[in-house]
Amino acid sequence: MRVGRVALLVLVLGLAFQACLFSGPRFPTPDRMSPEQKVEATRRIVEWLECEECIDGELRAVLEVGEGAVPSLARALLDGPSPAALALLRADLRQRHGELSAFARRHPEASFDMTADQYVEHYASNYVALYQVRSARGLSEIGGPAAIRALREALAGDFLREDARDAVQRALDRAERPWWWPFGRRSG
Amino acid sequence: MRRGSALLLGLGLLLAAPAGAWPVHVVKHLCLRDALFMTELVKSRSVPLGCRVIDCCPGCPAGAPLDWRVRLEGRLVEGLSIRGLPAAAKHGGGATPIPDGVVVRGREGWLRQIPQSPGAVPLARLQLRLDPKVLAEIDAAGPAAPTEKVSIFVEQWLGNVLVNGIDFEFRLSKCSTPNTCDRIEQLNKQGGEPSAIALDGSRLLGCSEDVIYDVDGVAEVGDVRQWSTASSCNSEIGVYNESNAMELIHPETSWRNGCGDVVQADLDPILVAPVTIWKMGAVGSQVGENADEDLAYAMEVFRTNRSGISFDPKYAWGSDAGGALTALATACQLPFVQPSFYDSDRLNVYYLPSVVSVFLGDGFLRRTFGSLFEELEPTGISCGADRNIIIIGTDSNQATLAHEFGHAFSLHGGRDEWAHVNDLYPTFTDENVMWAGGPASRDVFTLGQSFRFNVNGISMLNENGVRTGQIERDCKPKDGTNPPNRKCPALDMDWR
Repeated sequence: MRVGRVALLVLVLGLAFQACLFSGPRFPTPDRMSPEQKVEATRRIVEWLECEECIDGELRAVLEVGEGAVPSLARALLDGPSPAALALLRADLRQRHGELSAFARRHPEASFDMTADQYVEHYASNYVALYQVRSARGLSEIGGPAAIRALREALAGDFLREDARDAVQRALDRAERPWWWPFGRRSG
Repeated sequence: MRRGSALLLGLGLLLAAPAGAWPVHVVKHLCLRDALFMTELVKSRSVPLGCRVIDCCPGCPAGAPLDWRVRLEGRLVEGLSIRGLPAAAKHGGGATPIPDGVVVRGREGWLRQIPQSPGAVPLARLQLRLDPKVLAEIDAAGPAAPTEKVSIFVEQWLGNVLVNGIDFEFRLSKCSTPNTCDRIEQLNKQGGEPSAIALDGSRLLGCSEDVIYDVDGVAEVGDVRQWSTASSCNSEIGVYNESNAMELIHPETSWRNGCGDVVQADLDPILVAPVTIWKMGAVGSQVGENADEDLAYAMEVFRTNRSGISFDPKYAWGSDAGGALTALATACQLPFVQPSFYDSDRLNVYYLPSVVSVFLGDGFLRRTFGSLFEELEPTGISCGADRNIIIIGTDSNQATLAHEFGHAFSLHGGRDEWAHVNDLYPTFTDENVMWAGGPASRDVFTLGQSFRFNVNGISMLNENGVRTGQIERDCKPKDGTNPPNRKCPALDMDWR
């Protein structure tokens, strides 16, 4: 009996703490955003999509954009990075491959076997997968019908790598949990 | 202790706020008489036409024509030529069309209504035009010439929304001229690349701190005065190069008043950190197929940034036996669960067959306050509970492993101590390897970071016994800035 009360208290405190941490979106819907808010929303989305450990509150910053971020995240999930971002990455990777090849010739301890094309395609593919994984996670945390629709559409397609597909499936599972589920929603 | 560290990381997750630059900044420090100067400054740089994200911005009409606003700052700049873009419908400000592109003269120019088309993205090539008169003026000014700043801002606008941007900034100072009197010689220096020698010492007019000499062999350092334990000045020499260990001499007591002193820095071989690369999948599978390339990238950036660190890898296959993957994902508890997949006193890098999904929170708290200690899906992570553990996922980039090594070598800790440089100083840019994310082309470590990799006692170089019998300190990321700390150069202290 006593254990049950303690468990209930812990649960209530956990939910209250969670509510304090997440006070809801601070941005209007996209059609009502000012140009400055659109730039800020985009900056937050890019930081979330491209963060390394994501321990600096990047996801929380996107949650503050709220449903205003859903269209951008859905496009990122379904279509990946922008062509401009991919083009710059590919150019950088090709240049870096040349530099690393020269470095490996001077330093035999650096083993470096990929051809330039393999190198570019490997990391470009990872970049696309990263966008899919992160946008799916963002959508799952924001939730709502549009987010769930985008996640389902992604899983119905055949463009996801296996690792990204697993992550998108996890995201959909998370998004479809009931609203009162205390574990696994609203993080960052 | 391990649980405490994990909890600390979890709290860092809750408390820290995101930050970052928008548009992107690129900063280069150049020395005016360098051969590098002309080539670096006038070589063309590429900027892709298009938005930073696929839909340009929330509610934007993606695919619509873009406007480019180009701004130039610095008296050395005469103009900027832009080639490789589709023709703009209109030009404004100082922008005028030339046969193969556009030239911007003066401080600002507009290229309006540049069409975006599906297919290959045009990469614009930007090339600065320098004013030869100003260049000659600066050259004639001698050592007293002030640092010059040259900036190029390229902003891409969709209507009234900034949808992409980059700025290049060059800081140009006169090269240090040899100041013959006292000198520092390097013994047993390997490789042909110049060393950076950082000198603290007593001078005729007071203390001098962190004066950097970029030299191949002998550094002519002027008159360094005699030092004693009663002196208020620090007396210290740090030598950094690509092919030797970083050498720190403290205190340097052999300086005498007057010229002719010669101090010899006897350099040790480069430090080689042992690393076990665990490929956590079926033997011969594609798991960790980019491990060699990631490691080569890390070797290159640690060497070219003169950290004095290289790596000696050993490869092994791991599996989920005994719940190894779950243990990795649960606050990095692997050594307790599956010790056969863990080598003590070495960096252990685990390449997963999936994206990383880890819980940073303590087990009990995570179960109780699940949403507060949610799993992260980082590209890679250095475990706070045991910084010999690094986990790399399948969506990592070429710089992820180098970034995680940076955390293992002491740029790691609790909230303010994660040492991601985004929010620490305005001088850092997203070219720094310890930026919290961003472009995969990150390849810069500062002198302040290289110093900490070596000298901080908590660096795994010291904890694993790779670096022994040397000076150790405890330099936090923000130490050395305000107030100055003679034992710790500021984290953003650069190579010039």
